[in-house]
Amino acid sequence: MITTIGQIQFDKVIPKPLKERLSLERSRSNDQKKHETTSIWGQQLSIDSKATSLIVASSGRGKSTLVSYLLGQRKDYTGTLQFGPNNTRAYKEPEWTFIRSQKISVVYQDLKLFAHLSLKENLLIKARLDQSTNPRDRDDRIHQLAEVLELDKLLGKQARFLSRGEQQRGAIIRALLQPFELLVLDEAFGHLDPELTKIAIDLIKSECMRQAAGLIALDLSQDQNFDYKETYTL
Amino acid sequence: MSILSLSLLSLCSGWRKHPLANLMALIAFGLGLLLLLLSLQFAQQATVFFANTLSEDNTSEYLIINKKIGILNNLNPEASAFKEYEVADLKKEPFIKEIQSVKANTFKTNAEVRIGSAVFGSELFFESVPDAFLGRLPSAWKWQQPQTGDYDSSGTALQADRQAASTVPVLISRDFLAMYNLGFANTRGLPVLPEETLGLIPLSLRISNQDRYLDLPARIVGVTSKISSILIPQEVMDWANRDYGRKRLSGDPRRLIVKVSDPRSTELEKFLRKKQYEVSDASKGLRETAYLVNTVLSVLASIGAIMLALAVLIFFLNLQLFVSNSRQDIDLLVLMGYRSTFLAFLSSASAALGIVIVSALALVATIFINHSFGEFMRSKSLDFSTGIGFNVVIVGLLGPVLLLLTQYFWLRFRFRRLSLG
Repeated sequence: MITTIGQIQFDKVIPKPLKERLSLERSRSNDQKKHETTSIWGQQLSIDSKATSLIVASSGRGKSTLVSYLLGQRKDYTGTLQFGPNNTRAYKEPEWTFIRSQKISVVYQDLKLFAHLSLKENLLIKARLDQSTNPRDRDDRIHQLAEVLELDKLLGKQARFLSRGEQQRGAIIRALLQPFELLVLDEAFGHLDPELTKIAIDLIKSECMRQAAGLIALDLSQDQNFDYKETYTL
Repeated sequence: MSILSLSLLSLCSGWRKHPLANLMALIAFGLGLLLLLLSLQFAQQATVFFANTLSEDNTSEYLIINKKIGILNNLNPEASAFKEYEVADLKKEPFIKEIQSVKANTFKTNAEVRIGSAVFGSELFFESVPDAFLGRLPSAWKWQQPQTGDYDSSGTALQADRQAASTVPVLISRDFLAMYNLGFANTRGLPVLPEETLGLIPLSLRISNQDRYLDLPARIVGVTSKISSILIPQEVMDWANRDYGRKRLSGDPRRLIVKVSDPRSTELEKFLRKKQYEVSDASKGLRETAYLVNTVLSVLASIGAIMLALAVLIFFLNLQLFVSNSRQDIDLLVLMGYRSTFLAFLSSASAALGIVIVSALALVATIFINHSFGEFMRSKSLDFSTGIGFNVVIVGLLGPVLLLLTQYFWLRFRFRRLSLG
């Protein structure tokens, strides 16, 4: 059983759908010798899951694909992806279920809320997976987090009736309702105004601190939301 | 179970998105199951019914054959008897397994019936056949041989003899009874005799030859449709022929009972035609009916099975629809860390209630229809049981269980693919 994610090691990982495009670019930019040391696809590098890192990539470069690889939902790549010493290809469903519910938490770019369930039900479905908490604590925590992100009045509303920004805050809260070692933010603040963005960032920072967790932010461009230790490209 | 909630269940259930499609798939399944169960049940009822009516064991393999009565027999009564060499010829045929003769009496016999103060008497004939041919026999079909040996000078049996002689059981042909009741009794103003009361009429038989006679009590113990004759047990016939038979009559049988491997074989029919033998086969019509009914029922059962198969197909198409429409939800649930097995279980469980209810309804309807049908047939005095067959219950229980299991494993397979790419 997995005890920790540790170093996320990429060894020449190339998503099959991006293969042609990447090899074309590489041959073109061969002479320019771009800073390839920080590029993830096709290179050998490792990301410390305990650190705060930024991955910058324009759209279509496989940001969401990378998230799918980290959660084991897609395996359409060549090369190897390791968590510490373990090749993730060898993981079976029990390992992935454990990683998804206990180790890596994600705020998806497309938010992924159940449109026909209320915001509260959306949050509860995630919170219930953590068997170490009791129902009352879960409830309290949901309300507490909702209050911080100004969603407490909207908990009973169906997700499809919420604005993008409200949905995004809901998705952030949901990501914080599980234990994690690594929080992945896939363009997590795109629909928030600066003030709410700041509140959300502070909340995330304190949560990561509390759980002693690392963070990977995926963004279209360089940002200053967190004190990034490393910056990578795709 | 704290991870289970109604909202989670509703995400995994096909009922939320396609209630109508689900309902129709369920109804189709219920109807298919009902049709299959009904045809199974009726096939079973029919098999039991015809087996009973075709009488118990293997009597349908027995045929009675006799020589055609023509001018030749007319001139010489012995011509209609089967000679020893003819029996030997028959024995050689591969499709004949066994030959027994229908024995006739060589003694003279007179019967007297007393109904009230009226006395009817007539000369009679008897025949005897092996018990196995008759199939189910009445319990009174037994006889105790009287002690013989002491006769007075006039040939009259001693008193002691007469008392020791037990009642001779007699079986008469159903045709004879009908002939008497419908033809004779009506025109003569005589009482009609229902089958049940025949046993109450005391008969007295006098069997005799030129030298002596013996009076024996007799009783009609039943009717048979197997052979047009008046039957007494074989041992009575053997004993009476030995002690009272007229020696100048040959004992050659006029009728033979043959056991054949297949009564419907064409070889047999060709052989009989060549030899100019006639067959009387009382159960022929019934066997044909049984064959027809069984064919119809198996066609019905096949239709039921096909319908059930189609219903299952609709069911799985519906399931496919659910999986493709719920793909996003299931995708998200497995990404959150729910196990595909758990989600497949929830999905199946949400469908289980409907399937169980519909199957139970089909089973109850089968029992009800079968019961009403049984009662109806009984009111027509046909011996139909109203019980439900064991295999019907098994199919009724196994059908939904199999459907649920297949559904679960299929969903698990699909969900796992969503979970692990």
